[in-house]
Amino acid sequence: MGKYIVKRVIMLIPVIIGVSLLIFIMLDLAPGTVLDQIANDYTPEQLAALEHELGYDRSVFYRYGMYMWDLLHGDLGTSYIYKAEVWDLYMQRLPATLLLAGASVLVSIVLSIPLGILAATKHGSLTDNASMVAALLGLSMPNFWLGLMLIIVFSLNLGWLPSSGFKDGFRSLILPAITIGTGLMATLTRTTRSSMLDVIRSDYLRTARAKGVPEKTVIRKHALKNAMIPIITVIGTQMGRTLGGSVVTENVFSWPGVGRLTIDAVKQRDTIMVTGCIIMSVIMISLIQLLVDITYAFVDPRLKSQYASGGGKRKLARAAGGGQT
Amino acid sequence: MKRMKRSLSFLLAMLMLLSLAACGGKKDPAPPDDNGTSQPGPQDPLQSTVVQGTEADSYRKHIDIALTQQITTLDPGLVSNVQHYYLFNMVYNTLLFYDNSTKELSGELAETFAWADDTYTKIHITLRPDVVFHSGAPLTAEDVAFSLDRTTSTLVTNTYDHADVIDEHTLDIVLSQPNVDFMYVLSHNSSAIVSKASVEADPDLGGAVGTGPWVIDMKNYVAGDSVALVRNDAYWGEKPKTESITLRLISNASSRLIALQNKEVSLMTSVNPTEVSSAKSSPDITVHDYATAQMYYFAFNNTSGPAADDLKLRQAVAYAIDREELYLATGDTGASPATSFWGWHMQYYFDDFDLDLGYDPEKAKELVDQLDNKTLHLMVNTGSSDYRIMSQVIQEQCRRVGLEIVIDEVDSAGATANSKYASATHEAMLYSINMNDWDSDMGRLLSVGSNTNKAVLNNERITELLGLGVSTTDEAQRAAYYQEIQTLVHDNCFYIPLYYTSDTTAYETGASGMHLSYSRDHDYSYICIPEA
Repeated sequence: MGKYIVKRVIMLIPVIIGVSLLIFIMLDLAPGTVLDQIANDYTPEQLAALEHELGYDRSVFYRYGMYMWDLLHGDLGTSYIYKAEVWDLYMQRLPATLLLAGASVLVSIVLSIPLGILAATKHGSLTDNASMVAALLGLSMPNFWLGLMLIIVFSLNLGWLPSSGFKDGFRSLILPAITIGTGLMATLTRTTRSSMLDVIRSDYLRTARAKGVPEKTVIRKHALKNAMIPIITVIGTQMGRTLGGSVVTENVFSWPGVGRLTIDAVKQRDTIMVTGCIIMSVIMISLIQLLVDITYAFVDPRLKSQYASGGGKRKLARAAGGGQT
Repeated sequence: MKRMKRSLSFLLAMLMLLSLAACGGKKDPAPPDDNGTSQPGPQDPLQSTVVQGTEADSYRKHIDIALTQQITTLDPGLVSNVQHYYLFNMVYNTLLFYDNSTKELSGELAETFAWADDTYTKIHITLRPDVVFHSGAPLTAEDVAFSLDRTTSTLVTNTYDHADVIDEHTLDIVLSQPNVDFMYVLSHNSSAIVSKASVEADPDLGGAVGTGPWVIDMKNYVAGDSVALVRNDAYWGEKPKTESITLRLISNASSRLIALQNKEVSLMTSVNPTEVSSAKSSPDITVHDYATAQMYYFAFNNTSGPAADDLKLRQAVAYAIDREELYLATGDTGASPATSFWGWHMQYYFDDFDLDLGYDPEKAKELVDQLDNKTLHLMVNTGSSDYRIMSQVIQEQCRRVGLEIVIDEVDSAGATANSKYASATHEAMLYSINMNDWDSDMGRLLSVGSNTNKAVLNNERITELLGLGVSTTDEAQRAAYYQEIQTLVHDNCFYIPLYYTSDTTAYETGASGMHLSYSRDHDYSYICIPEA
């Protein structure tokens, strides 16, 4: 297991190099540089000095090299716009993002798994159809619309919850988490349903039922546990996505997350800030994926032995993709 | 199938219930409040307003204010735009104070100020002796010289040369060329005074130490999101009644208004035009409508491209544009059409031109018929919905007269880069500017080399007139110079002024002490709300 974790961490290195190079090149190709944002008023002499200081009088690869050298020394750089360390700015926003991502995925789990199980166990019934429509509705409603509706109902009309910001702690979290969670619901509900349907039809469950095991126990102990691998995979992917920031929802709720920080940096051509944010997101997403892989082993003991035998990665990928081992 | 229909009907019913709940109001409408604060409705556009309130035994300790755009820096030496001025007005002082209601200058950090002679190149300043920075260090002439030396705004750098420090509290500010308006510049946020010692100790954040009535609470500062301020109890002037204020970014206009209605914030600017009536119907909210000093305009590239040597093309566009249709399309019902490329609030505004270039599609058609090139590329910054809407309306208006406008969409950074004076590539663009009160400020838009000169204008006579305008205090002469500039710009259609915008500030009824200005750089230093 330890070897596997080390391998996964090493795999991060080419990803970071590739992603950061891509960002540097793409922002270099876009019209305008950060100098246009911070030095529009500068005299030609001031501008030339600043260009030299920031490396804009050299090629994009030189600037990239400078950045990577600093990164090797653990320095994510200093934002041109905010004049502050990227690490500090990112860390200032990370708690809000982690909280929102965690809470959104939790909302999604709480809504989707029971709904998916219900749909699978009542396959083809009104409940099944209603569950699927509800899940699709969650996906179809644009976040900015749902967010505003929730704000109008629960903040403005009922006065129960704050409409913006992060200062009311848990209460501030509820509406944005529901907004994002509802959007995530569709995929998870459908995955839960299809995975459960695969398992429910299997022979060992039929045997269990024939032996007189109560239906609740069959579903909870035997079916759900075996259907969990694809569900965990989807949860991990959703967690990773929300960690990257949910710009629309963050805007509607004025949530001080990393999504808004990253998008603002892109608009201002703050290459160092964008690259820093994306690298941090890559690391966070990779960690989440690693955590998901490790969780497989706890859910399915057969996988644990595969990790131990060293051939885990290939089999694990098969398991995660197909839902069967 | 039947089951499917039933489930669908059930879900639709639930959705309708949610929408109905969202549309329903919580409270019954209450009669209009009569507490003596300023009433909703348009104010005299020529005046700024200090919102008056009633005296109370105690005031709310903390107030939240919603911002429309992010504050990216705390340092007044680095950035110059309206959004940052809210903060700068509260945290920093300038040497002089300009009251745009009375149009008079008075000393702020300067105890005395005067031109050294009638060459208008040197200002003699004596500082107040009792001023200390938020760090506790006393204000000295060295700090003033240091602050003016480091500021990057062209408002200052175009004319400022250096400062001669005479003693601890006395200095001479020396200009590189005569500028009778430079005292106004010294009252502008670009000339805010920061602590030299603090900047030298911490170049990144030292610029956040000022002498104003509010101190930045660095522990609760979230860059790009919110700035927490605490009252400066050692302030040399009148102390605010409120103990702390947070300036919070709420970029979505609807969310901003809901936050105000929900009492999460006490003041907001830029109410969405479609929501103004909703804000006005709430008894807990007072709405202040006003005409602003911001003008939208159409700028031709007058150095290269099809419009540079084609007066007929420029005039055809001017005749084709129906300004009223334009600002109504953006939802700005309080806007007013602009005729002269000048601020309506400026002293030497002039629009009595012999040549009428107002909306006249027939004249536009006549001119278009004479053109060889009937296509013009218009660069549009997609960061603003107003620009997007206006460009589409202009495209349609020009199409009606046979002129093809091709819209080139770029983001804000792209628009800035493509329209820089030295390397401008646009044929025409839409832009807006918030003009200061003093007439020579128009130099930013007309001077050779200025990046705010979006017309890439290089007109010798205008350059000469701009120089003459700041060299004399003779009002008749200045009026003549500035009128000639306005006529030249108008008749040659270097720029087409479109309209002056209006804006809306909304605040909790009962709030007072705010200085609301047509220049939009409102000062919230003395905002207070009586305890309920």
